[in-house]
Amino acid sequence: MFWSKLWFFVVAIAAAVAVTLALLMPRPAQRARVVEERQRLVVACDVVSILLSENARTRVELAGTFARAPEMIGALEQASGAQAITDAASRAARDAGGRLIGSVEGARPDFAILIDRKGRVLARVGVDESDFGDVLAGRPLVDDALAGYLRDDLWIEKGRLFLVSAAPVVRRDPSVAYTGAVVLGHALTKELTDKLVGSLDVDIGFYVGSDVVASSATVVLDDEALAKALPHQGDVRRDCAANPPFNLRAGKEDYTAVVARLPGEAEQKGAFYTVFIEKPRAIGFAGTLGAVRQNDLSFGSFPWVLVGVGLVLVLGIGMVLMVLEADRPLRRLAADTVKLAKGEAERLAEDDHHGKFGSIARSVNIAIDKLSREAKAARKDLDQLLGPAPEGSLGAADLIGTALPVARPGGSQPAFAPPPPSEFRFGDKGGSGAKPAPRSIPVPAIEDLDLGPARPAPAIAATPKTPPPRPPGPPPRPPVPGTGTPPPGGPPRGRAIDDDILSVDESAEISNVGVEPGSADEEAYFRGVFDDFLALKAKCGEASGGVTFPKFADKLRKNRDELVARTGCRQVKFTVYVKDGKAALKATPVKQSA
Amino acid sequence: MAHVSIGAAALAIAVVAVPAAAHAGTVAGKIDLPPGGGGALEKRGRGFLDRSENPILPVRGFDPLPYMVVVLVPKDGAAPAGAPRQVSWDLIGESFDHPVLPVVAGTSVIIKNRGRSSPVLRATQDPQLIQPGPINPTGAKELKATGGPLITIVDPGSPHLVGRLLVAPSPYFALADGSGRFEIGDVPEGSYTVRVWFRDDWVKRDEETVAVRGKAEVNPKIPPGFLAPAAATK
Repeated sequence: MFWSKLWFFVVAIAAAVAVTLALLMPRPAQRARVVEERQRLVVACDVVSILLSENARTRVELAGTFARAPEMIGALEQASGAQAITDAASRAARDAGGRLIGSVEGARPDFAILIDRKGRVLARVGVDESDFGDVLAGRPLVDDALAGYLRDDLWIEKGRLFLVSAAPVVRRDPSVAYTGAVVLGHALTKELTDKLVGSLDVDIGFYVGSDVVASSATVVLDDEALAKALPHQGDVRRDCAANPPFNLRAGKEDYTAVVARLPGEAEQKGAFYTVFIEKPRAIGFAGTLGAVRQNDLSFGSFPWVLVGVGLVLVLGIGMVLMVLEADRPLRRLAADTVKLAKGEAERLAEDDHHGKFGSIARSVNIAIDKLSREAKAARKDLDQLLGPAPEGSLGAADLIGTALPVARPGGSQPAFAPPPPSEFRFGDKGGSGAKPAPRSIPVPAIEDLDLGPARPAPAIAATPKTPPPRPPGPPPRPPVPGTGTPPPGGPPRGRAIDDDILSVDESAEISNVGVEPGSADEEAYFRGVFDDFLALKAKCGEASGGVTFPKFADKLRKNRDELVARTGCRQVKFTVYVKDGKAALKATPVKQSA
Repeated sequence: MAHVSIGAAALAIAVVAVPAAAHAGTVAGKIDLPPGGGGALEKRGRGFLDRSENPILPVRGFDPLPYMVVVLVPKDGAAPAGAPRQVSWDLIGESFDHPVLPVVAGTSVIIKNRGRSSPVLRATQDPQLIQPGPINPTGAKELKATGGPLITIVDPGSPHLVGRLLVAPSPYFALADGSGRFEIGDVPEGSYTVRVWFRDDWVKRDEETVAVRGKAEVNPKIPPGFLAPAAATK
C-alpha cells in the first residue's frame, strides 16, 4: 500500500497545486492587465498631447494665413499710424476678419483679434465685437506676435478654454515692417475632445481648477482627487510620463486616470486635462472561467491530447498500484481464509502476505494460538479433574491439541499431532491414531470426553503415540435422529459443527438434549451423564478409577461454559459413546433449545 | 510693452516733485545701451509648441527702455524729500501704461483701469497696500507709496500683468523715451550721482557724477549683461 499511498499523495498534491494555480493565476493576470491599462493610459495621454500639438501647429499656420491676408495688413497698417482707433476702422477690420473666418475650411476659429503695432485692439471678430481700442500688449502671446514670433497659447476667457494662436502681421510694401498681429481662438469643445480620443478608447476631460470645461464623457470625476494628483512643478510636457496613473471614483464607478497640466496662460490658472478609463475589474477565477471562449477549448488552442494522456497515465498508475498492493494481496488473503475456513489449512501463511495483509494473517494466527492455549488449559483442567489419560490415550492434551496449529510460521513445530478439533478424550492418547485432518475452525464444536481410568498426566509436549489395542467396545448403537451423537471413532475429520450436531451417533444416547445452564435439572442431567459414562466404561471393561460425580459435574459445567462462551450456543449436550473400544464423552453445543 | 505710454513720452518726461529752485538746472541725455540692446525678447510661457520666428522679417528684440528710470542722487546725501502728491497710473488692458513708475515716498498713486478686465491687484511687498477686491473697468484704486524702493503690483489671476513702483531716493528722476532720451528739470545746482533703475533693481555700473549748473548733459552707459539678474522676470 505504500506506493498507492504515495501516489495518492502525489496526485493530491498535484491537484492542490493545480487548484492553487487556477485560483492564483487570475491575480497576476489582473495585475498585468492593470499595468497594461495604466500604460495604455499614459500612452493615450501622450498621444493626446501630440494631437494637441499637431492641432496647435495647424492653428498657428492658420493664424499665419490670416496675417498674410492683404486686408489684414492694410487695416492694421492704417490703425498703427492713427492716434486713436475709430469705430469705422474697427468695423471695416471686423468685416474683413469675418470674411476670412468664413472662408476657413475645417475647424473655424471662434474668434479673431486684430492688434495694431502698438498693441491696441483694432477689431474683434466672433467675441465682444463692439470692444476695440483696448491694449492687449502685455500678454505673452501678443507680445511675441508683435515681436515677430508665431506661437500658440491657451487662454481662459469667461470660463471657457480657448486654444489661441497668433502670428505677426508684416507689411511688405513699400518696406517690410511689422504692423501688428492676428490672434485666433478655438474654443475647446466636446467635439474636439471626442476627436482627440476617438481612436484611443479612453475618455478625456479638460478642467480649469475644479470646473469641467469640456469632456468626452458625462461622468463627473472626483475633482479633489484630480487636484491632489495634479503636479505643480516640472516640465509640463513631461506630465503624462512623470505622473503615475491613479484611481478615483465617479459616482459608484472606479476609474483610473492620469492628469497633465495644460501649458501657457491656462497653466497659471490651474488648467489641466485628464485621460481616464474605467478601472479594470477584478476578474478572479470565476471571471477567468467566464472569459473563456469556445475557441480557447479547441484542439488548436488547448493541449487536449496532453491532458488526456496525463489523465490516463495518472489513472493507470493508480489502478496498477491498487491492483498490485491491494486487490491481489486481498484476493490472496481471501483465498487463504477460505482455505482456512474449509479446513484445508490450519493457519494463514503469514509469509505469503505482506504489509497490512500480513498483519491480518498474523493477527488471525495469534487468535488461533490463543484459542489453542485456552483449549489446552481446559484439557489440563480435565486431566486434573479426571486424572491422567491411560497409556495410549492423549488425555487432556487431546483437547488442547485440537486447537494448536500444526506448525506456526517462524515458530516451532507442535509437540504432537493434534487430534480432530471436535473431540477429545481421556485415556486415549492420540485418539484414533489417524492423522487428524486440518480443521477450519479451531474451536472444538464437539468434544469427546474420554473419561478413562486415572493415569498420570501426559506431558503436553509429548509426542503422540499410537494407541494400544483396545478391548472391544459395546456394539454401536443405532443412530438416534437429532441426538447428534457421533459415530464410534469420533466424528469424521473435517466436519463442521453443524455436521457434528446433526450427525447420527452410533453410541448410546444418554441424553437427548442438554439443560439450561444453572437450571434445576442440570444436576440431574449431569448425574445421568455420569451414570451413563460409568456404565459405558464398565461395559468396555474399563475401570472407573477415582472419578467422582462432583468432579465430573464440575468438569462438565466448566466444559459447558467454555463451549457456550466460544460458540455462543445456549445449551450443551453431553453424550457418551464408545470409541476405539473405550468410553468417551462428547460435548455438543446446541444452538436452539429443544 | 507699454507702447502707448512710451509714445506719449516721446519727449523726455521729467517727473519732478520738488518746488523749482532759484538756481535750478536741467539734466538731459540719452541712455547708452550696450550693443544688442536688450537682446532677444525673453520667452514667457509656451503653448503646445515653442514659438517660432516669422520667415519674413527678423524678430524684434526686447526693449528695456520702458523699464528704465534715471535718478539723480545728490552727492552730499541730503536730498529733499519732495512734496508728496497724487499721480495717476493707468491700467490699459493687459499692462500698465508705465511698466515702471517712479514716485517719491508718500506719493498717492491712483490706479485707473482703462481696460476691459477686472484685475485683482496686490502689492507683493505689502499685501495691505492696496485695498482688496477687483478694479472694475473704468474703476480706480489708490495706494500710498511707502517703503520701497520697489513696490511690485501684480494680478495673481493674470501673471503677465505686473507693474512696478519705484520709490526713488530723490525727487530728481525721469523716464526715457523710446529712443532712450530723458530730461530732468528743476534740478538744484550741485553735484549728483547718476543712477539708473532697471525693472527690479539698480543697474550696476561705475559711479557717474554730474555737476548741475544750468543745463547739463549726461549719457548713462549701461554695461553689457545688465539684464542678467532680472532677465528671467518681467
